[in-house]
Amino acid sequence: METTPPPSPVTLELWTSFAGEKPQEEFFDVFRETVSKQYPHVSLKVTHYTGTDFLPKLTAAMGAGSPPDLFVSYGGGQLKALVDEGQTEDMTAFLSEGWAAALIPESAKSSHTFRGKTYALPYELNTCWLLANKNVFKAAGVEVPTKTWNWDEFMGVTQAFKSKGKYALTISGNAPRHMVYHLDYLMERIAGQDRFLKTLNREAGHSFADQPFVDAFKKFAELVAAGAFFPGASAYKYGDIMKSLGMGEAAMLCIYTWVVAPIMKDFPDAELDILPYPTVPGGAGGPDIAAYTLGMAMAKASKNKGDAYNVLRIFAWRETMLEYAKKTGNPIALNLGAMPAGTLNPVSQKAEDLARASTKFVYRKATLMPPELGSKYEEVVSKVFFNTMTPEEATAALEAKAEELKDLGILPM
Amino acid sequence: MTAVYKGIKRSSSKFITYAILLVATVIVVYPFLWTFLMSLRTNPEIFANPWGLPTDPVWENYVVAWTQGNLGVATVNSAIITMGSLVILAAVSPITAYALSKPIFGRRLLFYALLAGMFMAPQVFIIPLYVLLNQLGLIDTHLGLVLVYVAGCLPYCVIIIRAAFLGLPQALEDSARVDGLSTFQTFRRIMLPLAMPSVYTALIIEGIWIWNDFFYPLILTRSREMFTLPLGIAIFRGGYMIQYGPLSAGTFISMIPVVLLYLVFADLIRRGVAGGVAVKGSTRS
Amino acid sequence: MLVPAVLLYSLFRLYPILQGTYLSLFRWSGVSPQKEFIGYANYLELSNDPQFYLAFENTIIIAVVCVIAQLFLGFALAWLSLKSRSLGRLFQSAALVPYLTSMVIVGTVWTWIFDPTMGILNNLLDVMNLGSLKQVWLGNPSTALFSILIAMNWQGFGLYVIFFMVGLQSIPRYLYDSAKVDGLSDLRTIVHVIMPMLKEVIVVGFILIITASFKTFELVYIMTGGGPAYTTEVLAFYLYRSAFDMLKAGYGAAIGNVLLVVALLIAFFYVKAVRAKE
Repeated sequence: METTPPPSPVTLELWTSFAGEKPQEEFFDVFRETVSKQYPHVSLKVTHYTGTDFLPKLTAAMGAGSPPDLFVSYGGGQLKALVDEGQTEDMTAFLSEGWAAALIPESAKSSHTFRGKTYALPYELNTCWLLANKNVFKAAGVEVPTKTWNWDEFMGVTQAFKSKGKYALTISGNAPRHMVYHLDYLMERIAGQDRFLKTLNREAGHSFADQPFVDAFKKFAELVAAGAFFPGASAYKYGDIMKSLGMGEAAMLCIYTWVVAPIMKDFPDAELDILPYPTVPGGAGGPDIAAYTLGMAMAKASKNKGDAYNVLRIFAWRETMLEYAKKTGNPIALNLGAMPAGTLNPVSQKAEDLARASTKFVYRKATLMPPELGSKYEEVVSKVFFNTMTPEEATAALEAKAEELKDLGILPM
Repeated sequence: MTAVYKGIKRSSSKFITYAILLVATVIVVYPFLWTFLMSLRTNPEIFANPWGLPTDPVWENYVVAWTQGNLGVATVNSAIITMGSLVILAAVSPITAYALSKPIFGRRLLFYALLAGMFMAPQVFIIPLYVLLNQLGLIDTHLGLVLVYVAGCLPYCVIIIRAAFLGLPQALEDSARVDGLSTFQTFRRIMLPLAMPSVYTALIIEGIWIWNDFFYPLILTRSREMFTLPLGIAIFRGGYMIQYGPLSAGTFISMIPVVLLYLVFADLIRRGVAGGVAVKGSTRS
Repeated sequence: MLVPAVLLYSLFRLYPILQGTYLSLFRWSGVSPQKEFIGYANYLELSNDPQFYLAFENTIIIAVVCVIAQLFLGFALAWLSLKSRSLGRLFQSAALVPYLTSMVIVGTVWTWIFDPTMGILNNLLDVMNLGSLKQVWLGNPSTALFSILIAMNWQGFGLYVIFFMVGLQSIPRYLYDSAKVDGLSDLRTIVHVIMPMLKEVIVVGFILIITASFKTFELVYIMTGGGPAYTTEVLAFYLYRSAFDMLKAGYGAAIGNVLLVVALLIAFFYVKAVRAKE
């Protein structure tokens, strides 16, 4: 693979948002070795930042013109903002190479694709569920639902918990980023994905202030008013909600699968299970699962693209991905065929099986939308939760911001 | 009658004083005590029983904090950056303060510029600063951070030291002038030694601040090898689940140098504050 | 003599600030050099932005409360420490330790203390039979800012205990004695005789505390992330969120400029106050 004379030594920088996560850190240590073995002239320098610091650091580095060669991509509006500024490398050709065609499903690429071009190699599949602590169900004498359920049944369960002095849900009151998952589901359950996309892309006759969206926020407000949420959860930041569910402060948490392995590690006695988000009777959307893929993107300003692409090829190897799944407990988005039994814990495995059986997914909206609209979305959901804004005001604010972005040409996406 | 009343009043007021001080001490000390206890427990242990004492002290947390947080390197970085900044500040700020205490051209403007710079939160100019440092190739370097800190701490040091200079009698300078000393010699041999306590105060306060600062290193470093101590321990609260054990251990590790220095230099600090702040008292005439 | 300092300061502090001012006239994401000149549009948007006013208000509240609390606590506890020699000494050494602690640690530790289930505050209230006073401290818009203020003042007041102790000790004994002879009660002695002598300490403390208050960032970042429902946001944090979360760096720069104007105003008043003293 190497041509003579031997290539000069190259250092590639890879940035992730997994600081403090031992499994991920260990994985990348091993991956670095793998890369050096395959390409002795390449030394991979991996820097991990915390989730909150990752985007600011990336932004600052790009703004100054010296970004890392490779970085983790969350897709959607966040990635698109970087694409629009010409900071991300177009990987469409790379991802159509022989090895990639069968390996990478189209659906996995979708959140990293804009106007027909893909800008990241998708690898991790994250699905959103009502993660349940079965111990709490048992303690309250409530049966764990085994099939899809609708909103009325869901509210019924909420009341059942209340009557036993327990709480149905916990949430991150001080981290709006993770509160919006409820609305991600509710908006599509009631208005349908088609309508959401049309409204987002400012098609005529569509507004966020339309009744279906107001209804979505209303349902959320109803949930709050019904006392479904653990009171202490109002103060919780991201790290606290896992502790909250693990400790059994509430029965369920609406969250993505990346929390499963950490909770299992710190709360070995908690029996976890995933429950689908309820459907809404009369709504335009079906019982789809919310999902998004995490990808690896490349900076356009990278000076070592050839080597970076080689690293990505190794990253997508079956062995590498299996190792990743085993270490982190997170499902992989690529078509790896059957994984050896026990690679993933039972809950993550169940999530992956259910995801593979689906073809249509609900969007993770805060990252799908342009950053400014995503921020507004988080803001209004948070305010509805704390009762400082009505559902009508919330949707009106969202619509106003969307119109503003339309005038600036940021929408349609 | 009044004597007894006064006696009761005195002893009850003594009691109240004592009580208040005791409560205050507890309030000040307790959070650290609790953090120390937390540092010897594991996450599952803490969640199962938030209030218990460490059942089986997990001293490994300290090792984990040190290794996973790369605290050895972080401490060295913090030390180099703090000492470097203080050395430059010690060299530069007294003379700037002295110059600004004399009626010179542009003094008012410069003083305002210094004050305004002091009030600015780093978030305000961090992006232009990043771009600038990047152009100079100073991102992810010790020197880059040192220069940023010197520029940031200069105003405060100048203000404190200048106040000290202003408190010194004009007579000293006049007699120095009569003796034929140049301005610089006057400064070095007579004025500066008298204002030294204020220099200590300023340097100590700014030194503490630089050691504990989080935001500048957060944005202006790129690699783990360059992280300072606050960044090093921050990774334990950044992941999916807060690792209370190593985080508490890391907290203690990062506080040890500062507390040690404080204990060693407590007297110096007090003298510095005496000279730098209560200037009026020290030049009783 | 001034040259090196002036150069360094201008380059690394003034230049970025001025560049920030310049950039506030653009729509700029901060991600790439691409930007679009829009003149005063950012400022217009700011003037209509309720979140900006909220952040401003919070910053002012913090400044006022911190000045009053830290100076008062510093003075009161210094006074008491001098009255009770032994415990006073102990307290004085302990009081500075929070000041030596990084804001990130202070924020983390106090978040634990305020935790609704695991935190000591609520548990203590239970033990003292005051369970009805329990709150979700950092999750309730009416108590969140207050909680942050407690952490902030816990960290800051220690320095002023030392300042005031030194200040009080440098006041000549005869002043106390003559006041007693004149029959002045303790309180009036304090107000009329001692305070004027401590004017220096108060002025320096005032400036230090105001400076720190306007720069509040880490505590909000760690304890509430600006919440609940963005009610604890302060100017520095809103700036950060605009630039780095919403990718509106130009808008963030406009906020920065407002901070600059406020800074200049405070500088102006400080100089006036100091001149009046000289």
